[in-house]
Amino acid sequence: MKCFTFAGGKIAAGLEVRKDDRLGDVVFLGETGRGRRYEKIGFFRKDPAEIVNSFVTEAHPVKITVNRGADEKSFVVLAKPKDAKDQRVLVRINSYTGYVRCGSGGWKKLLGNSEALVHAYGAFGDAGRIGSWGDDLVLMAPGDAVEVHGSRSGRWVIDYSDAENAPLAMVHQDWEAKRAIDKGEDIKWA
Amino acid sequence: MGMKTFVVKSLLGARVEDGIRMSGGKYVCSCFDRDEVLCYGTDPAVEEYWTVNVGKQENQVFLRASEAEPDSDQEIVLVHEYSPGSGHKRWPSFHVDWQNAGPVEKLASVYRGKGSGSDTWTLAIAPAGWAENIASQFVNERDYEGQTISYCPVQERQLPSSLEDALSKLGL
Repeated sequence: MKCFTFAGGKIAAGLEVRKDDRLGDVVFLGETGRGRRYEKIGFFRKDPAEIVNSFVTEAHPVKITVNRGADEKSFVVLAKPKDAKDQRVLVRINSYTGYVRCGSGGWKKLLGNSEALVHAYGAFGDAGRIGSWGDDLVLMAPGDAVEVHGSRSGRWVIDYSDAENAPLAMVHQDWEAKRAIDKGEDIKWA
Repeated sequence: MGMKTFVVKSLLGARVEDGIRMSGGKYVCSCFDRDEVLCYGTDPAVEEYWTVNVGKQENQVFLRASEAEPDSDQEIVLVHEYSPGSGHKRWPSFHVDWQNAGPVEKLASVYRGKGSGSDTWTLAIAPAGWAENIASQFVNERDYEGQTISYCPVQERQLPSSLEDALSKLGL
């Protein structure tokens, strides 16, 4: 499935890959430090997703569960896409748009059933107690739409209305207008 | 269906132009650190609207291109009122006296103000000829004072019947 990154109100193809001392190539989400949570999304050893110019543009998420006695831990790695017919997309949703005291960035479902595969977050303040922003890897299917609100400002919608086109990011007001125009019946004409 | 079609005009001071230009299916007003949408067009590919149907949904206004015969009594006017900012202070400000603007229905309005100047964009349904009436009263000359203009429709004078008869006999 195709991969995208949403940040600052814009959506772009691909997930940025960084080098990690221990894991090698990873997609790094969130922020390190107290009151924060980071996640390193590694690559499937057997059949890793292809990296081109430090970006992954197509990948299949594989969930691996490890049992260590009573402890069970699961994580997601990125494998090469298998099913060409799979129309779902992976979208990294980063809701950081700057600092404001007690700002809170995140996303929520508007249409469909988008699912966060990996959840990470950054925060403001030494202990992360004066605001936070989410940085999630989200699985979206055709017909899904999610609303993103930035940590400082901004309210957008990621609209994956049809599989023929990439997901679109737009201001929430524009999305409402687009829906009204598409549906037609909600507009009262003079 | 009873849906009205209106001619669209843009009014800026003493200037009236036909139509309204949109970009990306919306009329965006730049408010310095943010953009505000005054109205949407129903077709993002259409850049200019000349005759339209006008619709509302909650707080949003939509214009849809229409080829039907436009209403002869009313028109849609995009009014751009302004107070010049520093550097242009000697030019008059242009405002409409909305309290005395006649039977006008405001559809949407966006204001921006920062420092000394300000702008207000308003989309309104107004009587036919309203835009020209306002524009004709505005004096856009340097060092002329700012103006807030009312709608002053020209009253058609009824000639006395005897004078009408006399004129008709003369073939006038």
